[in-house]
Amino acid sequence: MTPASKRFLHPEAMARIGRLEIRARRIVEGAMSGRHRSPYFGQSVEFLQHRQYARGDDLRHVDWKAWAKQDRLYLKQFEEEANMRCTLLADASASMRYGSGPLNKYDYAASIAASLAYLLLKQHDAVRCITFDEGIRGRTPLRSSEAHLAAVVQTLAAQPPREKTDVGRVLVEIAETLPRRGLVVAISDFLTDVESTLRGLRLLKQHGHDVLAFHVLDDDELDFPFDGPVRFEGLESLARLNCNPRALREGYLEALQRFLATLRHGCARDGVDYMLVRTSMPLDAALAHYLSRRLAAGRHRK
Amino acid sequence: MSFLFPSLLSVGLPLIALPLIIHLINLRRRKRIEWAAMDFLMESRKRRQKSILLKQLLLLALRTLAVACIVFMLAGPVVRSAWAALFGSGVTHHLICLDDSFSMSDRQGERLVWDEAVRVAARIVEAGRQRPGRQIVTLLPFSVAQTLAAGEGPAVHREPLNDEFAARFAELLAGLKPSSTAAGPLDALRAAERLPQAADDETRIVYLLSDFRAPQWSDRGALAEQAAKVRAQASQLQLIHCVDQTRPNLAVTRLEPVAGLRAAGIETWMLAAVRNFGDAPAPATTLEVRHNDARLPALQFDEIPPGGEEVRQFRVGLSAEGSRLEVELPADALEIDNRRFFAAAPPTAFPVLLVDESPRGEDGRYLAAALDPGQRNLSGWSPRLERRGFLARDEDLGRFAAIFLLDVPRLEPLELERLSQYAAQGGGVAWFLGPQTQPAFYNESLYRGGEGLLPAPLDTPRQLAADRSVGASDVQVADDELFRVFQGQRNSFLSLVRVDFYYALDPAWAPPKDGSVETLARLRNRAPLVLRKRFGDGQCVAQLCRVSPLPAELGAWSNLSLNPAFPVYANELAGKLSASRRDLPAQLVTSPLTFVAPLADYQSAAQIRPPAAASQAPFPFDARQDGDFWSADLPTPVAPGIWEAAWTPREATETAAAELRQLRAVNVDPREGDLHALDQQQLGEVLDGLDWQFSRSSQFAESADELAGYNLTTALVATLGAVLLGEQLAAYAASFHAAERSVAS
Repeated sequence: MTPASKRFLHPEAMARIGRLEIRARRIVEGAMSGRHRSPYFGQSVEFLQHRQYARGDDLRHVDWKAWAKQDRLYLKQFEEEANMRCTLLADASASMRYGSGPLNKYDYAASIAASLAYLLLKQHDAVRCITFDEGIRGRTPLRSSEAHLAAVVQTLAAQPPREKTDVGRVLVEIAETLPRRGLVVAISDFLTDVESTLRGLRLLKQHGHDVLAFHVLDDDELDFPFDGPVRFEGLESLARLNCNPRALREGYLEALQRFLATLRHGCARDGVDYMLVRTSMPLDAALAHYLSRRLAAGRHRK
Repeated sequence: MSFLFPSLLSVGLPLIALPLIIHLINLRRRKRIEWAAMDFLMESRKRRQKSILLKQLLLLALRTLAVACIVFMLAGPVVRSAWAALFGSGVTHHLICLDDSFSMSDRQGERLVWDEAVRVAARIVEAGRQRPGRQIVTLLPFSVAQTLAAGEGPAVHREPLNDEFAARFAELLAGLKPSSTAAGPLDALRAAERLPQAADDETRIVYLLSDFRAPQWSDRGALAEQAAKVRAQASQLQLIHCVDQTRPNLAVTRLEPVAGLRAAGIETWMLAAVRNFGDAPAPATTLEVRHNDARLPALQFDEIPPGGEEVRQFRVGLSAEGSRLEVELPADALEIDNRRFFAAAPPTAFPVLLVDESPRGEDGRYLAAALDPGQRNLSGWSPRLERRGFLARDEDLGRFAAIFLLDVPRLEPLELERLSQYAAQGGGVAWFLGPQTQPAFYNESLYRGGEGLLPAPLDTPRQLAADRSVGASDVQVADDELFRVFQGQRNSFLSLVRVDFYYALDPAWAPPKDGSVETLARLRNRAPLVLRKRFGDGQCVAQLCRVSPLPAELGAWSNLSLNPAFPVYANELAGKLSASRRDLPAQLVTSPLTFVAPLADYQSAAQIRPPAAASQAPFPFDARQDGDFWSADLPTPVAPGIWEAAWTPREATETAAAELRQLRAVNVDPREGDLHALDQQQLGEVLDGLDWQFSRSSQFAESADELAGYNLTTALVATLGAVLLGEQLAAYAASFHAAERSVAS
């Protein structure tokens, strides 16, 4: 971390950064143990350059001819492999503040973003991180060095979740401003206008990006287990509701199911990779599950 | 509609608002949650708002209705017969428990307390007759309740209140009077509980018309328990107090011999006791005394403090033909306890048995002469000299007032058994030891480790060293009535007594710590001379030296029988030993009154003459056979006074038995003379926790009028059950019960 970053980071933020970084490493290492280097990150046929082999690199990319000649191991770097660009979009709106367990939705989303950043930077892909609510709140430049992880984490930990959400508008803005194709990972609860969100995701796809949508929801939001008299107060609205939660549970779950189905079907229709994640699911398990699914999908495409 | 327990209604009505209050409290106690997915919640509410509101209102209404059902159920609603037809027939049973103990004859001006109670009873009946619906009545006097068996009813039992009964009831009440008993509320409440069970649709109202005297309410625990049982069977319990204020009262509490009955012709000391039951000192008063209708000198009583009792003694010579004694105080608030009676027909002499085994019967002659000097000296004792075999032969030792055993060496088992039985049943036995006494037998069979007839174990005879110094006395007596003749510092009789030989006691023996053995006289060397112990209902006295002054093998034992005071000592001893057999048991108006005559000598029908005050003519009474006797058992209660029974001989010959006349004095229970009455607060302390109503007879209103009709309690119970079931269903429909969770994936 740079001295300037340290100046803006509170001790609590520092602790979160530390947890995120460690968590990200563990998750990625766990995800990578026993697995091939994921082709998920693309492979171009354009040879770019050699680089010296480092422990853990994929042996498929070893230039055996060079080894035969020089008795040293070199990896072939392809243009695409070296220029993988990933944009991580983390929803930092007020609705992401909700959480019934040790991590609220934002902490969980930020952990996913940090974990992915760690993974990408480790294989020298370029990563930028953007936090948003109604608009873009924070962003990091696109970098590929491993030291860039601290900047990513700092951006994620910069400010607590607040303000309303307008995911659709932010996605449109990102789609129109990203100069080159790459991977766009949107991590949000998507508790906003679903059609607007789908429009934004569709636009990203239309611009040639590979789009991933991590839909983060708390267990309470998915199960609605409340009992007894409750007063619900909106995190992003002024709405107030006194009720017996049991009486509204059935209707709530129906509305939620409709919302999830619309989102899931819309993503499937537009080719957006969608995954619903509970905040109670361990991060490494969630990420490993998704990565495995991508691997299987990738082999199927080949 | 009226209520059996309106007090519960006033407490319970505010509780009906409880469900609403709890709902309002819960509104303020809602958990606050900041929620992200408000849109889904609002959408759900919008779709189900009306249905949710309706269900919640229904639930609130059902819960309120349930509380209302409970409150009304506990308050005991009663509807009149017009509506009662919807639920059933409905009967109101008025159970009137009427206190007819003799304290109810307490005079309040021109009227008795009893008159007030009767007036209220009549009013209850009249009011019941005017009410719609079926009305029935039971009249339960306290004195009748005492003798009522379980399941039985009194004379007026579940009578329908119609015009015919009302007329009959008025006549009945006019003929009723307070009894001479001290029957209390406990008897009435027990009888009320034992009455035949009411029908399911019967509303029972229990009235307790009484003067609530403190002595009758002394057993608080039993009364509270019994009142609760009656209250559980009844819809209401009403206590109606017939006394406005407590009046002072003097009562004659005792009239009896001082030291048991004496023989006819022997002057008997009688005592009369007067108690002041009032709260202020009673002024001086006079107690009239009559013997066989002849006036004796009246007894003067000075001022008697409140709650105090004064005793006076007088002498009277009782007649063998029968003596009737009556004492009477001047009239006051309660007259029946101003008179007390005593009757007896004592024998001319009480037989005493002298079992004499001394050589030539010397001991017996000296003792018999002391007990019955003969000629004109009437002692009231008739000594009978016999040998010890008489104890086994005679079938009826109980007729002897006392038994003396003089220098008896030993007894056969049957003799000992008869003697023990005699003493255990209240007889008095005296042992006079002598030279023939066998200590080993006495210790083993008569002392028996302290369980037998002998007060202490014997050792060998000893000689008392002579001491002829002036004033020295061989015998020292205890302060006991037996030796009253030897009391006093200037009494010289004692100094004349010489004891040369006596039986020492076992040195290892010590008097029991329970005081069952007393030493009444000692020798100069502190050795016991006369001992007494209780044995069953009787007693035994042992004199450890010989009666006769004549020389025996060792020499002359003692000169006690030559002392001028010896006849007095012998008479006192006989009196003490025979006291329990000469006592006449107290006969109260509620105690069984029985006359007994030998079956072989008399006919079965006895002519009974009631006391003059009973206003009842003599009547024949057929006695029942009880073994070898006729037993005339008169039904209780009986009137106080002197009752007489005359038995006619079976044969009218010169050799046949003469007509047998027997007298019994029957008295009222003097404790009933305490006229202190409990007030409402004190009654509340006794009946704490019980729901009951109180009123004074002068202010008694027919509040029971409102209680006629059908009790809705059962219907409300059924309604409550339905409401609770509905409440659970409504709670389930309103999602107040946990259901299976469907989880979004």
